Amino acid sequence: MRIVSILVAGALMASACSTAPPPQPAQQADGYKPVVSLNQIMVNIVDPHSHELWDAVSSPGKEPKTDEDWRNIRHAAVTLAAAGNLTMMSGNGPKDQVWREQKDWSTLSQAIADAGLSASVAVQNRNVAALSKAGDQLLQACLNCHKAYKSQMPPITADPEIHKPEFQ
Amino acid sequence: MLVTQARWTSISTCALILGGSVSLLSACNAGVEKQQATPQASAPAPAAPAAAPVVSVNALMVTWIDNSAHVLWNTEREGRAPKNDADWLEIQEHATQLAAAGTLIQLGGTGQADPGWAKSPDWKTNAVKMSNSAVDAIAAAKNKDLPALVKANGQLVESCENCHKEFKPELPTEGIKHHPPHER
Repeated sequence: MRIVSILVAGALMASACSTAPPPQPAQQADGYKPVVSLNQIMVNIVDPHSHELWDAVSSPGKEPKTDEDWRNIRHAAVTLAAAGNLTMMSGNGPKDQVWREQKDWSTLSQAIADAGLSASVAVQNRNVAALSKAGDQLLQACLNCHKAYKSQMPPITADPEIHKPEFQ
Repeated sequence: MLVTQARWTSISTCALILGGSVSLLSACNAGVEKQQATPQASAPAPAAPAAAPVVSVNALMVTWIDNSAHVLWNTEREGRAPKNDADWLEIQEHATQLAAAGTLIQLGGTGQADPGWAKSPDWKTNAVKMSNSAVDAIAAAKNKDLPALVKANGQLVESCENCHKEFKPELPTEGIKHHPPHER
């Protein structure tokens, strides 16, 4: 069931990512000028690090065991937390600034950050159960956002060299 | 140190990369994540609320920027130039991470010095330079153009060095291990 959920989330994420729009010059009111699109952020940052986290709790044999395993998960957790900030700042894709101005965009982005922070705390405590819970929290954040902004599910086009096997 | 084991293809590039990597790492000795940020009270539309950073600049440097930068720089090591589509896609992935990180660090972080740094105009200038060099690296990866990638790598090193010279000149993190994926 969990794997199915992860696959669904992966597909949803990929649906946001099948085509990278050409960069557009964009200067936001707050002075930030994004140089990549939200699609690029999803494909290259959120998606691979989400799968790293989900992979680590997908089955009993896969949980982090060594210091290096935990360090790798921390990398993913911190990156996801920061990626929540990044999606809040938005990108330079055609719809990105419109989405950013929606009332719930900030809350939905913060949910990614919060899931990443939960994972980070789980890593600090080396708590696999908490890490799994953080993975669920992240999955819910993905589903909620895609439900609101990108519900359609086009074919998965993710590159097998970048994405984890479970994503295929 | 891992960097001393490297066999660089160019002495000058080596010096730049060493400087850049050490400089990057110098910002990374105290990765501190903040507890979950309380979502801000309902944001007034249409103005999007400013994002409140949830991790420190140090944490970003250690887990994200340093790692991605080394994936790019490592292509200049002997026998490590990208050879196939997958190699170039990996470069594109990490260059995109760096480009986005340049925007992200303009937000500052939860570290003690971070808000002050983020207010400095030079901070933004250097962050934009980092993004721009990474955008060049993305284009180089899309075109599978190694000389263009090397040029972008040089610009990236320069942005790292300029920023560290001004904001974090000391090098306290010698000996800190790079994130393992650097050395794959």
